[in-house]
Amino acid sequence: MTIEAVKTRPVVVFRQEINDAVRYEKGLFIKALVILAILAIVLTLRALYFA
Amino acid sequence: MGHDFLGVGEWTLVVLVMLGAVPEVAASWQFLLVAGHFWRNDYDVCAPVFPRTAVLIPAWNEAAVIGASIDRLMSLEYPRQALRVYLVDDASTDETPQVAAAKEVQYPGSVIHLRREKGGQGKAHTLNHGLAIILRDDWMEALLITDADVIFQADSLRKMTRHLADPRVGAVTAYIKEGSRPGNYMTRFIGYEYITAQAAARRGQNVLGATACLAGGAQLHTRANLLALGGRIDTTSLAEDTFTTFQTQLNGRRVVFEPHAIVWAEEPGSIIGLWKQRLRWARGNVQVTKRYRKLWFRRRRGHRLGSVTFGVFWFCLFLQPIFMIVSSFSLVTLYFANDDGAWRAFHILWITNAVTYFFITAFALLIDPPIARHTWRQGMMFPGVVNLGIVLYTCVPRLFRDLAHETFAATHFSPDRALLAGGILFIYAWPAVSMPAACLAKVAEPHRFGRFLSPLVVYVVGYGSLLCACTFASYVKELRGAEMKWDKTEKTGKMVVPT
Repeated sequence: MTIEAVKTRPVVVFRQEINDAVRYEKGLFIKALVILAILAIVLTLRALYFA
Repeated sequence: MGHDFLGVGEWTLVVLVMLGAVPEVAASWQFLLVAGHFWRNDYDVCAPVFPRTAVLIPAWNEAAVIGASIDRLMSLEYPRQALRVYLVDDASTDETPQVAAAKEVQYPGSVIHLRREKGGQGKAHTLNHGLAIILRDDWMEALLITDADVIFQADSLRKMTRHLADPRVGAVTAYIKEGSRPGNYMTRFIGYEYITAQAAARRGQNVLGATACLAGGAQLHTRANLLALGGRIDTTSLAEDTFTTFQTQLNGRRVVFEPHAIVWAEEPGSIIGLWKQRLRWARGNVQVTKRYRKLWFRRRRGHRLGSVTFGVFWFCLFLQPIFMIVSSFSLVTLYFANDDGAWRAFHILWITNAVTYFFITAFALLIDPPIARHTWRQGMMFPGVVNLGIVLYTCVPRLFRDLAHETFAATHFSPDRALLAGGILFIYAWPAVSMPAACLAKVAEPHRFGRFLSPLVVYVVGYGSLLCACTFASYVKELRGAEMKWDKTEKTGKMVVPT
């Protein structure tokens, strides 16, 4: 299939949107790490004090 | 758990009890994959491409919503000369033809109204009517299949087409969000569910390299992909979207989820509406599972649908009601064989469930904060009050025991052994019992008291149990060979979409 590349939008806008998307995805990685860390702390506290 | 106290049969029961945690653990694994989406994605091969795109909308009695949908499509940030909307009116009996005709005049050459005089055969037939016409000439380079009520954000289509710069990609899907505002408890449950089932699960599937389903309301195909599919959509099942998704990947093309291309849809606001929709989807999944029975857990070159991880994800969802029933039944049986062993197995099961619940809920709410602000209560109540009570008890048992002792002392009530045993058995059986209990909400809804009782029942038994009950009903329908009826979800056009 030939895809018509219509350069109506500046490439810089496209680049910016891709960067924003990747930054958002990196943010999700950090959020997952934070949640896992909190969960580990809660599990440790539970095992030590609330079991 | 000591080996000294449990025999082989009891150990078998413990393993079966733990099956109850498998779907939750699998869901957590899928959420962990989401965290890997920042390094395993398709953004490095994207480019700003704008193929000539035909938008195909099947419509039956959509007068309330179709005008606004076409207006939004015509205001997309996309070259107007590269965009055509084909509305296939499936013999509507309302004002749909008039609205479509008016839009054809308003957007000459950009909106094309097609009408089937004999309709009612289902969405796939309606799509094929339009596809046959669109494929007659070479104009279309990409095809966007959507629904009449779906509203695209201005940048959504170009965010989807940027993936078509990669020739390996056959289809792209977007993130569908529930758009009813203010909505009700049901639309908010669905709004939260879509964070987990779309924003999270499909990111995970991107990382895995295997996609279960293109969203029916936002699927973009390359022309080459459509031609490889035979130029038509499967009409033999209730899950034409899933068949298209699987076949695309089996043909060696990739299916990509673009989480930043956002479209809005109006979802059912009642249990009966949800039941109709989900029964259709679940029956479709049964049909897909049977049709591709030689695919599961068999790795092949060219696609990852046969990978173990994808198979586990698919079957954990597909068989979740069975897992719940087997787990509950085994726990109750174990109670009569070895009540101490049953108590320990119950504890391990629910500690696992508690950990997965906290991880999935917290992460889901952080994946899409704007939707989370609207649906966080339903997110937290997703498992239902009873299951949440069990989770809390598992987390802080001492607190609950002290509270119970104090309450009994204050009320001078002393439960006898039979009552305690009954309570324990009820909790053990709850995951299985919650499914028929969820059906009560559906039964009560049409009645006057249902307006109050049905939401209450859903909050108590859990939205998850309601979905499981629906999945179980789909097994029964398929086993009985029930007629494949296309029950359309009613739309009212009460969506408020951010501009």
